[in-house]
Amino acid sequence: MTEAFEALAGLDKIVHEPARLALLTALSACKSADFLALQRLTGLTKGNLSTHLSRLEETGLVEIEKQFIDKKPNTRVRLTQEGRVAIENHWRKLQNLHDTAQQWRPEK
Amino acid sequence: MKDLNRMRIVVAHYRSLQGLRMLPWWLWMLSLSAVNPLLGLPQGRFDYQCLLLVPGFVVAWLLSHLIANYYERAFGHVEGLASHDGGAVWLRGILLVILIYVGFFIDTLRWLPVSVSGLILAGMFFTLWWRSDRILTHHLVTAVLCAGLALLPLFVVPVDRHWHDYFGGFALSIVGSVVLILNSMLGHIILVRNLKILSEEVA
Repeated sequence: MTEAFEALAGLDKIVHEPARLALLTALSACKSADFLALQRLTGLTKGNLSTHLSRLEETGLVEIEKQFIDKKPNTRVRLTQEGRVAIENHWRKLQNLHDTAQQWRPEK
Repeated sequence: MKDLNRMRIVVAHYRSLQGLRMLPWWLWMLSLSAVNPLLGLPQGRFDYQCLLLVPGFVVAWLLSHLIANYYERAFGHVEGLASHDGGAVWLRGILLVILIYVGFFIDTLRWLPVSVSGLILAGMFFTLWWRSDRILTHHLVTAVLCAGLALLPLFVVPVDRHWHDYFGGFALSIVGSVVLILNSMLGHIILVRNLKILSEEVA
């Protein structure tokens, strides 16, 4: 299990946090999504969602574009290339961990 | 992992799951198909259909715009990924249309008591359900409904009658419209249900 524990410890904490993982997963399945759609998909409050998106923007995983549509403010979020690579690598690591855990048997 | 997959599927189908967008168009189609049987007119007469054609189109167009606005305000906007295999998608679409036409042609020859085009449609909806990792269950319901309707003469006595004897002509459009209305409404329900599951899981 040592390798698995090392892999677990090596997971990117920015990506692995559940709300951010959900946001990055959602954004990986589309070109862009607006704030309201992300809120509906994750059930996060406006404040929480804003905080997580700012964190992801700081680390360069997402791009946030603020604009006005019909005189109403609209925030559109999209994954950067770096973000797309990060989330794909993360899923791969999670899948590997899952496969390793399936094979593990307790020592007698 | 399962919920991450659900998230990906829901986001990838975010717009197509907004089934109420298409509802006015299917209702328009239903009204065009159902007007003659409702008024007891023969199938060959098109006077009431002509009357419904343009006003019905305008009403459907207005309603679909209102519904689109509702979805933008209540569910936000997701811009879909450009398909990497756009050519293959078109090819699959064209092949499907050809298959349905071939099925419909076989139906009109009345070789089989069942509807081949109905079975092809059932297969298409089943594939859509299967490829969504069994998450978009409204496609399964529609597949079962299509298969049930296509095989109906096998369960109804006398069995020597053909599917077209039951659902030929306008009845086919009525049945088709009702199936599409049901699929659209269930799509909306699936969207709302999945958003609830996802938001409970994440938040």
